[in-house]
Amino acid sequence: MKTIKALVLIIFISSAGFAEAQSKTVTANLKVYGNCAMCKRRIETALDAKGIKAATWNTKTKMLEVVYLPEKISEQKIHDLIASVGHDTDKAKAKDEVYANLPFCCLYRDHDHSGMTDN
Amino acid sequence: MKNWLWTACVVLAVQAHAQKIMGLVVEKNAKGVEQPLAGANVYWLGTSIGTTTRDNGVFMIDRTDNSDRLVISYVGYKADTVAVTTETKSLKVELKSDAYLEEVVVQGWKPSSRSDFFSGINVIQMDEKELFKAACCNLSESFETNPAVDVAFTDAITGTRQIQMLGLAGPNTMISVENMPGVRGLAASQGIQFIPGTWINSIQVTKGTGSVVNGYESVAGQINVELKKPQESETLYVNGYANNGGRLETNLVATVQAGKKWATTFLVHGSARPFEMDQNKDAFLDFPLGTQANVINRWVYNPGNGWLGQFSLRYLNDRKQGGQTNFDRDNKFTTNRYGLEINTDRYEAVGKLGYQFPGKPYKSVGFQISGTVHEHDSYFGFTEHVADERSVYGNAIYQSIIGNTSHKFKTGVSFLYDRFRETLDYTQTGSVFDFGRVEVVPGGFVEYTYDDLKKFSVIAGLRVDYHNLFGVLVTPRLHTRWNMTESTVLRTSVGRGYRVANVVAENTAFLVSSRQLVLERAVGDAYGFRPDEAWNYGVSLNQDFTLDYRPGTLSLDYFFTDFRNQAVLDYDLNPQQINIYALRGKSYSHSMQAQLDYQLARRLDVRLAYRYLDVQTDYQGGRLERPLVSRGRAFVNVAYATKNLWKFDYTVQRLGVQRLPSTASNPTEYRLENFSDPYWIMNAQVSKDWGERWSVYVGVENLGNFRLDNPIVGAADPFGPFFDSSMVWGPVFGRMVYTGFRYRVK
Repeated sequence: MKTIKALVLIIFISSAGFAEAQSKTVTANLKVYGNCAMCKRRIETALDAKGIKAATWNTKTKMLEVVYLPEKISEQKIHDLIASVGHDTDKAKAKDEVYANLPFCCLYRDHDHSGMTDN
Repeated sequence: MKNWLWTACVVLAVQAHAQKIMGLVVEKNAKGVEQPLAGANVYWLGTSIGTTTRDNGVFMIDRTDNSDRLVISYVGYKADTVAVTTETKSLKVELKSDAYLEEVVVQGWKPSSRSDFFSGINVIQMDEKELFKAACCNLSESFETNPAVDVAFTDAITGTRQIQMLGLAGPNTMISVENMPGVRGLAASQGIQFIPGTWINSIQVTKGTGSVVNGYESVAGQINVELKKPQESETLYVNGYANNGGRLETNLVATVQAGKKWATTFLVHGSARPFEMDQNKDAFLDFPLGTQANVINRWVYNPGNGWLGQFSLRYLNDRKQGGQTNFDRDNKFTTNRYGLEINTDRYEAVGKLGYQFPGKPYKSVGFQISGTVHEHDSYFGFTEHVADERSVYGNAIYQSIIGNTSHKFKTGVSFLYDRFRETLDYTQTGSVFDFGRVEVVPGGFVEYTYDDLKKFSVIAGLRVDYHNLFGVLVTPRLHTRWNMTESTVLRTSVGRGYRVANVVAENTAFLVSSRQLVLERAVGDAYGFRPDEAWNYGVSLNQDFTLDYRPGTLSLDYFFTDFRNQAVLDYDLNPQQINIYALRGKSYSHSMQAQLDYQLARRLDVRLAYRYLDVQTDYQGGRLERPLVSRGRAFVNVAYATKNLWKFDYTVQRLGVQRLPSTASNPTEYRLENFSDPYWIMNAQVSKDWGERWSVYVGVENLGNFRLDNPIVGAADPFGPFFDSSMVWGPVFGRMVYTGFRYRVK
């Protein structure tokens, strides 16, 4: 039990240390329109970009939590990245040509398929 | 803010000028859920301007001044006409079927949820992504990135690999294929090389004792292999592989949907090793020449009413010829050249039938049966080992709940019939052993699971089997799980395991030497030994954490295996003999492992592991470390993927010292050190995917080109008394470069 406590402590301390070193990060919550797990994968993959540390999109609430370094990437650029793969945000709209190629369950402008998974 | 206004202006400007209109065409299925209608015709009324909908039901059509009505039509559906104005930006149309067509819903089938089955047991799941890291070639090579399982050559000539878990030889680990007997009995020595890697869908590795449902055999652990299934595999999967050791392989997996209820998958493997290789110039091939043809055809029947049927047929043909260079079959049983052949033919049939009670996902009943014919025909110099096995295994499992889903149970019966014919003939000395026997083992089991659905679960299992040769075997097992926090899991396991040791088939290494077999009792059922019996105790801790927004896992475990009965193989007593006798005293293994998995950066995964082993047995000459077991193994795996689907994988591991069997009584030139040197092994692989279908990989195994200079004792005099190839503690072959491709159609 002692070792477990020590272990937990070590992890805690080292993560705190890291957090301090990375204090320039900003966490933003953005509304991103989409439906399903496929959308989630697409949105999160689009945000696999320089300056973005983490991106998690919630299928139910449609909210995206994104952690980024403002020195390296602007918030608007994040909106543009999302729109470029076919998902609308409140600050960027996806092109029709891109939207038209989304899989059926992801056609969020036409229907709400939040409950549907990859099929 | 300015920026976004600017963007908005541009967007609006583009839209005003957009000459296209976008729409979606759907239908509703029997459940009222919208489905896309692909290939529907869309055209402007009274014109020839038209298009069709894409796979997702979407169409885009140019606006025209000649018409303001769009017609949407599809064979079997009522056409619809929609008015379009300049204000219309997009539309959605639902077409209705013009006749009532009965919707046939093909239900997806899921196997009796494995995670549910094992929830309380610590199981490491290895999926395809993990298996791709080892591009070659079969189950024996699938554990390169898994520190829990060691794989080592049994000898320097036959190319046979065996796994080790907790420092215990391969057969102590129960290897099942889809929870049916897989690698056991006569297949114990060669069996893991008969499961091609590309056939594998996933592997579940359990350390310590497994569930009683699968039998009494798992002592060190359980490895279950799930093959590609008709209901979830690709329609086509082709793979080719070649390496500079002259190994050529090709695999094919093809699935055909035969009507609404039937589906079938063909798994085909062909491989060959046509070229003689002798890197260390000891006049012995580094691995045998050979061919393998291996085919499975499996079927699944799903009528959609709760019943599910499966059956599969398999044929395997494996030929190996090794020994000295330029040996051919005409030299058999002569002193011209030392040679060996191992020829295997195996036929298998498996049938499964399950019923899921409607509306009761926790209640089901299943019947499984398999039949196997295994023929093994081999000789090693003047030693001939010929065996065949006929076995039938069946079980019936009923699972349900007591009151609510916190209390689950499984119960059932099983039956094993195993007939062995086996002879070992030292043709030079004229001594012949006959190990024929029949084992009949009916048994029953109960497994109760308590799960508070939050923090605790307990799985208590008991099975009782009646073995025709050894009487009643009682196997109790207990697993607990405690989720101490949301990210911390502590598990324990305790249990007993039994196993009838096939001392010759499992240890063919001593046949590739001048050692003579000395059994404690010359005759008797099962080589004159009672089954191996061991208790296994384990505890493991998993801690998930997030560091700098990236996920990681730390796992620690400790397992203790305590043999109460064992057929002990003694290589030390006399280097010209292999002595096998019943355990008197203690035989145990302590295994400790620490593993850290962490995502260092996006798409960059790192795994660090260290494992320590202390495996000792009381031999006739006193307590000794088990030979050829590395005390420590340290391991680093780094995997990186780029966004455009290049993948890089690098593994480096250090194997610690191994005790070598005593050769003190040999003349000086045939003596070995008491301990091996520690050594490093590095593997690297680069792969690239093109789209969803093609991928190509190139890799190097044993990058550091480490190999044993003289892996065979007395290689110059293979018919003399000191010849021994079973003392191999490292790679026989140096750097190995390979390349291959995968082509997949979903």
